[in-house]
Amino acid sequence: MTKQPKSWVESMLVAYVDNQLEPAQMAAVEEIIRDDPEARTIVAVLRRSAAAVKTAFDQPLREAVPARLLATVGAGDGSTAVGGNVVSLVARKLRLGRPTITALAASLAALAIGFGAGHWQAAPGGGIRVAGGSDGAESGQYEAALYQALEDSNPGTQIAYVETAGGRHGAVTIVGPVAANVGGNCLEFLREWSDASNKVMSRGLACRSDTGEWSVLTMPPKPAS
Amino acid sequence: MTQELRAELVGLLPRLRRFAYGLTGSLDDGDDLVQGACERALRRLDQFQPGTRLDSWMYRIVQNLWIDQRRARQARPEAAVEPADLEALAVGDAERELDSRLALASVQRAVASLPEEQRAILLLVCVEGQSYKAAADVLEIPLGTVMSRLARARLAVGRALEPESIESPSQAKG
Repeated sequence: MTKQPKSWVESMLVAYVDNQLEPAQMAAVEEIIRDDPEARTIVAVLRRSAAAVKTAFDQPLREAVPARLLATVGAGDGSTAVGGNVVSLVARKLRLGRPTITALAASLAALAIGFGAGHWQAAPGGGIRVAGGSDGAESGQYEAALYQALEDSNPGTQIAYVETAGGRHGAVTIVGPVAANVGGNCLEFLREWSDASNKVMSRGLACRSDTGEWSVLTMPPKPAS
Repeated sequence: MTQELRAELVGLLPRLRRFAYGLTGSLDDGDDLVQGACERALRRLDQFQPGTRLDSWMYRIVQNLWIDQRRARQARPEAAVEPADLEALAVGDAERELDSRLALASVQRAVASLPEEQRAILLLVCVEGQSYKAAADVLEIPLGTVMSRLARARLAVGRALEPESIESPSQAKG
């Protein structure tokens, strides 16, 4: 069986389908596919295969970004990635239905970012604080208030707490969801507490997993203004 | 600047997860790949050139890490569709639901069966919406190679999905 030599190559047709050719080239290909049934068939297949593939892997776009990836981007290797602008974090995990936070073994560094919203502030200095940090403020009362506030989730929700030990008064306030492109299950919150000599505030991010766990990243506290 | 880059990187995570899902054929493996790529990127943040595209840089890191892992493992990705994929489909009656699931599985199998270099091109252009030029930059190959690999990938997927509509490569060679 003999065939006429083709006046086209598949790569030219795919570029035509994807509108990646110059106008003169587009016109030339249009002429070819008008006259050549095989070229028309190829063009149709190239179009249909692109359409079929386009949304075949969209599942990650329909779900929240896993907390471990957010933590990775926030943590990374603080010593090399962010130079002197390291910000300490405390990673903690809340289990659904249990107003007690289980401290994660790891501490995270350098979430000195806006999470798409630009409202996180880098704290001066740096260093790493481990879970259950040195300020000793991770009390059960605070954890219960944080859990209650997160469960309510409405921006402006404020849950006050009083620590029986140490005499601290504090409150957790839900700021609101973070940028949508981070995932739909993350909330920013503000934590403030004071005692006789200090008034401190810190910001945090809590992301809820599909299994209902809250992963909480807390910025280091700093004096409240 | 570093803070801005990190914020931008967080915004890219959904797309990087989609790209990695397409490369690996598995959500979990894809997330592992993205996590490894982010760690690599953060270690090399000083190598990112301001004024260039962070998404291209990250796609390249994901792709290169995937190739490294593939060479280490010498294994092809699983072509099977994960149950989670199927649950996520918005469908109507049972018959349509089954059709949708089978169609999605067919497409994913077809993509998984492509050679690595064709799959990456196909995902970058047809899924991630990158221009030919951007895809060429990501993969560090000439524009003409992008076009020829993309055409081969699209025709292979087309043949897998509708074998009656197109000749096989040996028949079509002319």
